[in-house]
Amino acid sequence: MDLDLGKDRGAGVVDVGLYLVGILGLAASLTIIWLSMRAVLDIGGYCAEGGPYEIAHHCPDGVGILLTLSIFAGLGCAGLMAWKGAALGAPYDGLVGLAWPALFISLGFNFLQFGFFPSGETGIELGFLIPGILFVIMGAAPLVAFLPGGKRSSPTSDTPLLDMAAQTEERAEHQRIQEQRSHLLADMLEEAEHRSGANQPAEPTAPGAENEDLVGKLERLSALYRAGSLNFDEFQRAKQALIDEAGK
Amino acid sequence: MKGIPSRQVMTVLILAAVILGIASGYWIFVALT
Repeated sequence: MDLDLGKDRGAGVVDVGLYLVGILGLAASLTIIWLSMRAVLDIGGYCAEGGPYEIAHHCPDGVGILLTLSIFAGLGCAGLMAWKGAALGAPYDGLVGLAWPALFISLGFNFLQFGFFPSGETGIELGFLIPGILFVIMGAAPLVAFLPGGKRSSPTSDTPLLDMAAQTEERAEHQRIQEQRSHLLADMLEEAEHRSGANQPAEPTAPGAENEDLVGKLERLSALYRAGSLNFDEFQRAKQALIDEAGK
Repeated sequence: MKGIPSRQVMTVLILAAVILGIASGYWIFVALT
């Protein structure tokens, strides 16, 4: 089922384009951070550049500036993705949250790999293993809550994360329309009954004024029907009630 | 033109953006280090 919720808010091609640019930039930044971290882990896990001291471990060429830039670029792209995702609507605004598990699980994998297989050494490096486990837990914990198999997700869906967000918004919108519709219908029927009960000629009104009143009500009713607040049956019933009332 | 593409098209575009992002990130890293 297609739910183009963004249409109602006037989201356009530019919003979609900028959203995709945000995703692309975020994926590129995460990749550079991941590769930079591996380059540093490869030379022992720490490095330095500049300053007055003699440097034992120089950083690999370009990694220092690239890592710094990619962190800021990643934050900027995540902001762009969240901003345009909000304009596009329900399924897309939450996707930026996946950057958290992507970042922590991928960096945790690096720590674990170099913890179990330290470069140039044998045995296990606990200094990498512990942060590796912590990173994977930090990344996986929020992700597990959204995985298929949770009681809120549909077993037949191939995009459970998108569907869950869409269904929640759809249910709330459906409920709101139903409530609005039943209130309007109840009000109109009550008014029609009230009029027909009280219409035993207490004071005669001018026929012209009564016709104008009826036309105005029918126009309002028709506007409600066109706006989607009433379905066809409800519209017909309410219209008939108004006509019956005017005929008495 | 107003409106956004259908869910299926958006899913493909998002996956394409992720793959292109990873590829360009790798390319930038290899080119600059």
